[in-house]
Amino acid sequence: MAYEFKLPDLGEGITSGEIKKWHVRKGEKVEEDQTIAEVETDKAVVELPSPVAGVVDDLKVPEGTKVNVGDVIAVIKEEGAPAEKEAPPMRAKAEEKVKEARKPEAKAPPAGEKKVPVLATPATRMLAKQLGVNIEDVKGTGPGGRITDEDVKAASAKPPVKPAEVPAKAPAAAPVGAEERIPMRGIRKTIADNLMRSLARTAQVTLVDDADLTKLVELRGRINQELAGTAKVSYLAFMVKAVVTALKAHPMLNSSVDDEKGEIVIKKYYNIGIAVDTDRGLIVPVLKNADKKSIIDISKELVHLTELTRDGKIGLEQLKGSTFTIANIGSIGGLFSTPIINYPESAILEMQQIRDMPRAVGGVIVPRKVIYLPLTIDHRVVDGAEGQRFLNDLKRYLEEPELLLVNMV
Amino acid sequence: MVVGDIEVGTDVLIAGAGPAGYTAAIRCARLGLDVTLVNKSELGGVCLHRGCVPVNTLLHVFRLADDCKGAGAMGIKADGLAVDYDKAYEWKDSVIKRLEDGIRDLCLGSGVQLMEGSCSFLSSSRAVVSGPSGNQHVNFKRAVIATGARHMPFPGIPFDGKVVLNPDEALYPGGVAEDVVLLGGGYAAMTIGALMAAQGRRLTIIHKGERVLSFLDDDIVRPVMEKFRAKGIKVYSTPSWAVTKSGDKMWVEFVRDGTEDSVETGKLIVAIGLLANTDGIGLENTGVKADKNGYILTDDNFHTDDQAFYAIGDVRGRHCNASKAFREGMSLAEILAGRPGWPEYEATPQTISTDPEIASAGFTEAKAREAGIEALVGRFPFTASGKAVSVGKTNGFVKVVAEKGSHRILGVHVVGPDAFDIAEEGVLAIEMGARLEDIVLTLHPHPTFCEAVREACAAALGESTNIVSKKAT
Repeated sequence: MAYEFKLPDLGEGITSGEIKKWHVRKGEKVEEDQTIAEVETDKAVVELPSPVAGVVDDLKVPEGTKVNVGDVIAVIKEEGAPAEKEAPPMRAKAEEKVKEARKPEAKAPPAGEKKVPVLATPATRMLAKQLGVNIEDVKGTGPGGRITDEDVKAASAKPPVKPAEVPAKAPAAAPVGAEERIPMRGIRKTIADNLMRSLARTAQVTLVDDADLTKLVELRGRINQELAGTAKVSYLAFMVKAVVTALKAHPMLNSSVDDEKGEIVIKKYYNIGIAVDTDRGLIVPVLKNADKKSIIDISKELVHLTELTRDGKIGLEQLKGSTFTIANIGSIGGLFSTPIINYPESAILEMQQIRDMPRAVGGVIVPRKVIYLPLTIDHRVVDGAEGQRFLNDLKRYLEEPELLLVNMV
Repeated sequence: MVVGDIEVGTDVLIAGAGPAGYTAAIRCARLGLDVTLVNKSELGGVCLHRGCVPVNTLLHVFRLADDCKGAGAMGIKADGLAVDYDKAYEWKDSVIKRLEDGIRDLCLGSGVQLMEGSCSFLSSSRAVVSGPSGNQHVNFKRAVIATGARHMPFPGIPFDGKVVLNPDEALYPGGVAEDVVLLGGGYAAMTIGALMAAQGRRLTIIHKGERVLSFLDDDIVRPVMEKFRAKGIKVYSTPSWAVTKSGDKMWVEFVRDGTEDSVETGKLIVAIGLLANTDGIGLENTGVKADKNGYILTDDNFHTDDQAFYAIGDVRGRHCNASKAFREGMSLAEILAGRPGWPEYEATPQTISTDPEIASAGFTEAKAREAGIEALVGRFPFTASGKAVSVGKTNGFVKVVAEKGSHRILGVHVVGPDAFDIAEEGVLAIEMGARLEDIVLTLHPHPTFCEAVREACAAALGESTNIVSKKAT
């Protein structure tokens, strides 16, 4: 008759274990007390002896599977046994063997203990949970061994044997009104998650260079005068054009890593993410196919995208698919910064403020329009030298903007 | 409500809006989490729509009528008194609706996003909800499976909603004169059996094992069995059974007192156990593991083998119980908010709507002996309760189980009037680790049924005779 071998109670409140190794195979003959499996619990590796003699009819779970106490893990066909049974004495026997087989450090519970539940009120048990104290281990000092709040607090003051499951750090009490708590959700949460993911998965390094924009400032002034208010080209539009032109020469900066497949994906299209500051937080709309657009078209589109974003009307499609990101903190101020990559891209450029700064031109110190350009790269795919070469090209296009015309489509 | 084809995102997606699911959802929302609750047409779950609530609502109606009919000695003239079935079932539906509306208001008022439909997981971060307004994809960070359990069919005899019914379907109003056979002797079988008995149906109960409600002490079940017998309900115990079906007729073959017997019926109710509602929810697309009955395996913090998934309520198996489901919902919400979950509790109150009602929590006398605990037992019959005598409901008693040495109360069992409510004092006593003296020395309101709990504790201490005789003055 078939005997269903269930994972016996392993004691010490252990409710599950992992089948580490089967010592028998299906169809194999087993003797009573022969070890049929090794089970790993959080405390020890335990050998399970067969409570009956017979032939292994079925092993219910493969090695490495987690099983709970009471789960049938094997079926053993007993030889010559009179009837189907799940005989308690046999189970008890298996448990006994388990206790013997347990490693010495795993102490058996003293007989007679833990028959009745822990003597503590629900509120005291909750306190124990909050303080990460295993209430079963606390010695009660109250009447009849009752565990009091004080007992629990005293136990929590001792260094714990193992770290508490939940690091429930109670926040330091602050005077009423001195703090405000805002749930971390929505866009704030998304921003936080994206940035943490970026920092956790990439090797970021920031290179900083500057560029003399004096000529670009003049050129832009002339163009905008020429347009006479019908349109306006922005520094950002020039930056987008210069970046795209430089990216073509340095394709690794327009790539991303497919972490799952372990492949670098080099993109032959140029979608530039533009970090926009909004009331709700930082949002990055995408200017698509920037290489195929004129500076004036880019200027117009940037105005449009920024407005949509600030008004919260930006569509999901317009937030997807960027290949390189430009952040423009310069409109607010600051000398330089270290931007975080918009994962999974491999680089991000910060546009700092254009400032009047002293520069040596032809051996003479003169005031020039200077911008700092921090570039953060994912060092996994872009080496420092390549990053700097990109910056060198970018700098050239910005300092000699007519060069952009040469490369214009 | 979210509709349309755009993908929605949520932090916590809860599949199943029964006691476990909706409680978790409301608490999560109040803790500031972004939570979406998927409701498969029954907000409040089986408990509210097909279980505890409707059964007890209907029972109240039929017992109220019975009480009136039996109150001639009190001066009630009940000639011609009858229950209008249509009205009674309308009342039941109105109760459900009112309570369901209440849950909906609580959910929406707390900021829970409700989605109607059935939820199927596509991966560990994505699910599709198929509802009246089409398919909606949901991206989630964490998911809670609270899809509950359903009745297991008799092997080879599937439920058909007509002649082979599960206990939920057996709430039907018509056909009072039919012969009904009920298979099973557990909680669900006794609950629906009690309703059918109250409705005056011609019922035969066939169960395995020596007696019904085998998890309770024999003496607690006895008044219920006596009442069944008085109502003409046959209760048979059998070691084995078989069902054959031909058209709308069924024959149950079983062994009665060592000889084979057979009973023919046109209505079979099968209440032989529960199955987890884990089929068709896409578990295969996740790392969640279940046992062979489909019950989801979790650790003590409701975490499954898939890091993104938790499970609460009946879908975890063990004891299916609404009180437990509420508790698990609350505890999990705390865990999801990064706080410690709630601690272990000692006693799960069981409520069985038989006549008389049974409420039971903690160690039974038999369980205490099995565990090697020397038990002190006290009983107090309702025949000695002033309140019970005055309302004419003296059937039953309160039984208290305590540890002999410490007098610590370990179990409280009530069979009798208002059992559900008065048992709670005992549940609190168990959780507090109270001694018999704590209850004996506490004043109880008078005249009440709950005085019987105090008297049972006194009886355990051997002081009942005095107290009872004092009451008689």
